[in-house]
Amino acid sequence: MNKKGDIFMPTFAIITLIILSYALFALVIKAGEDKTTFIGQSQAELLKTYQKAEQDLFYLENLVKYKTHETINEFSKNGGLKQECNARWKFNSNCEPDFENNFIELFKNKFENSGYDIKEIKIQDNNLILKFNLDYSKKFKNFNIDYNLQPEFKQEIALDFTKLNDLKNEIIKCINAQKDLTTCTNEKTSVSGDIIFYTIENNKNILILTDKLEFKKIDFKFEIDQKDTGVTIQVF
Amino acid sequence: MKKGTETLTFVFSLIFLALILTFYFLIFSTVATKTVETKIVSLNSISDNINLLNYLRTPTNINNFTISDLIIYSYYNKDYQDLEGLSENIFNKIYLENKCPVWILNAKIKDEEFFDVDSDFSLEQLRGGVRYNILQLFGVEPLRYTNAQISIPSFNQDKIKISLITGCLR
Repeated sequence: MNKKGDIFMPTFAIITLIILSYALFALVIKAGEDKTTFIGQSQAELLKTYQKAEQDLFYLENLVKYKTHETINEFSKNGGLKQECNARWKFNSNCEPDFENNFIELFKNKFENSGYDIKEIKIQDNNLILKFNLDYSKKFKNFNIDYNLQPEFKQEIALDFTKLNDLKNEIIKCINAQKDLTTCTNEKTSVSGDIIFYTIENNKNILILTDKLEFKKIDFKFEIDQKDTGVTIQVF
Repeated sequence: MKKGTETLTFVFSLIFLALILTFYFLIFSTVATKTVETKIVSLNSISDNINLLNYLRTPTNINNFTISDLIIYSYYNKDYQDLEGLSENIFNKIYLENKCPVWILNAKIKDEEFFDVDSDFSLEQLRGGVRYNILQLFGVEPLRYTNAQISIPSFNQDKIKISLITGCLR
């Protein structure tokens, strides 16, 4: 063997020892952290996030629809008032009809435990308009997903708020003019003692859950105590 | 004498190398529990999720309902006839008998199943196929099963969970 041959084997053995020691250090001793790598994980997570968002939008769209129907039903039964007023209008009190606000409050109560927070809510042209803020941002070991949605839903309300507000103003005028409330407006009324009962027919169907789920036309009903309308009659 | 030393160095180095390799082999094969693992993340259920969502959005001729509305309507009225017919019709068109012979759709509320419908395809035709038999010969389950799930709201606070299980030929 020549001189190179003399040192080859010991050098080779020592280099192998160094490489394997480093490998042991890097892969076993230092490997406190998980070295698992998923090929396509970021792509899959991105698709999952989009899918989760799509499912949420679908869920919210339906939830808004059903909650609107529930709200219309209860709102019509309450005469556009809070429940404690027992559908009896009394002006200049808590039982004065404030249709849009009362509807929104009732809707919010029904929506409360849905798991989604309403960012903005309003009524415009007999449509309920809702905005949400959905955040799907996630942090992973090697990448982050920043995905935020602000969807807006528009749900038709099967009620004519303009007509209801006009009727309210008309009734106030009738009371001020001391006219007969049963004939002063064009709406269907019935009388029992001092109480006048109004029934406003609604020709739009809504989904209502009673003992079963059915489509029904719900009349808007309220009453007024002629002796306690809450309106101060102005005498000139 | 010099030649004897050289030979001895060579032999000892060889023995040393063999010992190192054996030692590290044993260490890596027993102690190295953390391995660099490469996995391909499965995206199989994504297409099923899309199919399920599209199914729920499908409009019907019943009261202008979508299938999602119809599920709720059927649940509260305890009448699943229309829903069953429509579901069979839709899924039998999506999942063809010779590719995906198994599909099972079910709906649960509060973990209680109230509706289920499945494919009436037979596996017999597949069993006669070459691909099916080769996969089985190598101990591979010929059908790959995936599961998709979507929640829809009901008329109270409970969510309705719709699940779709599909079995497609690998």
